[in-house]
Amino acid sequence: MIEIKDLKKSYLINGNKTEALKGINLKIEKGQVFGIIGKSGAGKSTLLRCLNLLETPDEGEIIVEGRDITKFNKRELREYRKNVSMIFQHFNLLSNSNVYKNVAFPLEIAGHKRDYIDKRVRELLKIVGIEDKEKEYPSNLSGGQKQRVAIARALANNPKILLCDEATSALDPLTTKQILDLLLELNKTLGLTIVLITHEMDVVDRICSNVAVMEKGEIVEEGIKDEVFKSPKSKTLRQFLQSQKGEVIYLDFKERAI
Amino acid sequence: MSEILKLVLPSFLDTLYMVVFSTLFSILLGAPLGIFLVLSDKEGLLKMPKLNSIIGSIINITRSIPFIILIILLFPLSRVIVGTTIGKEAAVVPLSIAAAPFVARVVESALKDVNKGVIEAAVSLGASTPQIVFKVLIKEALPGLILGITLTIVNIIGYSAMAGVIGGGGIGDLAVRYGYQRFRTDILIVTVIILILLVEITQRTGNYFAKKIDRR
Ligand SMILES: Nc1ncnc2c1ncn2[C@@H]1O[C@H](COP(=O)(O)OP(=O)(O)OP(=O)(O)O)[C@@H](O)[C@H]1O
Ligand SMILES: [Mg+2]
Repeated sequence: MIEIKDLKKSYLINGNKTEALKGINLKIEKGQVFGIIGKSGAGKSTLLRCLNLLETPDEGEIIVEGRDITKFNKRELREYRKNVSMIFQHFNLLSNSNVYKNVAFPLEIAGHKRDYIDKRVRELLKIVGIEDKEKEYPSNLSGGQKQRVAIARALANNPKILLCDEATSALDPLTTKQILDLLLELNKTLGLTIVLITHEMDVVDRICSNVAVMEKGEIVEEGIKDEVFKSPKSKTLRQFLQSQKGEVIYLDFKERAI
Repeated sequence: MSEILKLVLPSFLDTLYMVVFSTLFSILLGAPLGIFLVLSDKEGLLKMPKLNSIIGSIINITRSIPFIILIILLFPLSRVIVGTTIGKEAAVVPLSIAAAPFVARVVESALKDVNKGVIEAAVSLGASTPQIVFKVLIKEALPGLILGITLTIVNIIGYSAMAGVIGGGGIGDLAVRYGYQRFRTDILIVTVIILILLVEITQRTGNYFAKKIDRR
């Protein structure tokens, strides 16, 4: 479904060149929940943002359903973006629009009729479980509710791919679990392909079918999650798995103390 | 008392006329410039830094010319546009042009306050640049825009008093002709009170609406 070939991207700031992506090769198949993990600055966000061309790569190809998206003109790109949605760590909702209007936004820009928009918004709010909040403004919602609105908005035009940039990193553990369950359900029921980046191992553990590990702009290992996790090769993944275990032990200890 | 009213009321209406139309035209001229400044910024959606800096410079130059001089420079333009250089209609031309760069900056700064993440989300949903301008930028920045326009009106009220002196009529003109040249202190006081009230009401109304629609 998505094939990334030799993708490179660097940033030039005050004459200093940072190579954020140093030739990424990756295949993501339809229906996968694909996790990309790595330490801060590894290039996860840059890679994800290349997939909807929020960042323009310097070199390489991104083939999505047979077409190289880096060659798209402006109009093709806008059409493509309606098929590939994104959710964000800080939700990025329209603060002066209520929940209904936020979810209606992508439908309005796609030029749908009022009746259809109305029906679709209600349908979406039901899917993400916030039918009762349609008149609320984002500032009156909890983090989890805001992310549900963002997910409803992202799903509005029936995308095939959902990109998640640290979508649960601003949420507490319980809310994180609920949002992940929702994403997993969408993956199952709608056949939505999900690409998510995170530095929380629990997130990967919980919902990813496949995983890629990034270090300094490169993918250092990649594959089916269970297999990769069973025999981790990269330093990053070993450290991550260790710290995850550490956390679990620590939690057990705390729970026992209570 | 009725004599004062007879003098003040027409002048007041002239001032109102100048303020309303100058505000309208200055927004019509200035707002698109402000929007363009935001879009053409090197981090904006259109990225046209050269044109951005040219327009920025023109705005700065216009804003650095003292208003009273700008009016004198622009009054001849009134003859071309409205056919006369005297009266409230004539004053609207220099007032609008003088306030437009101010509006441009006010709009620019209000729009630049919009959360970058929200704009990015709209881009990621496939919104076009005009859709982002009207459905995201202006909507999200509306409280700031209202406060900015309020500030513009307050400025134009002040400017209109100056424009009046040079031939526009209105409250400022009345204050000078009667209050200053004929030593009618009562009229001077009334005109000052009217200007104070006008500014006060404008500012309060602006604050009220800006606050009311702000959902952040
Ligand atoms: N807009 C930008 N301008 C300049 N440099 C950037 C920009 N975005 C990212 N970088 C640089 O590119 C590298 C990769 O950044 P990226 O945001 O992709 O990392 P990340 O893996 O998502 O990190 P984090 O976990 O902290 O979000 C970093 O060195 C970063 O400083
Ligand atoms: Mg990141």
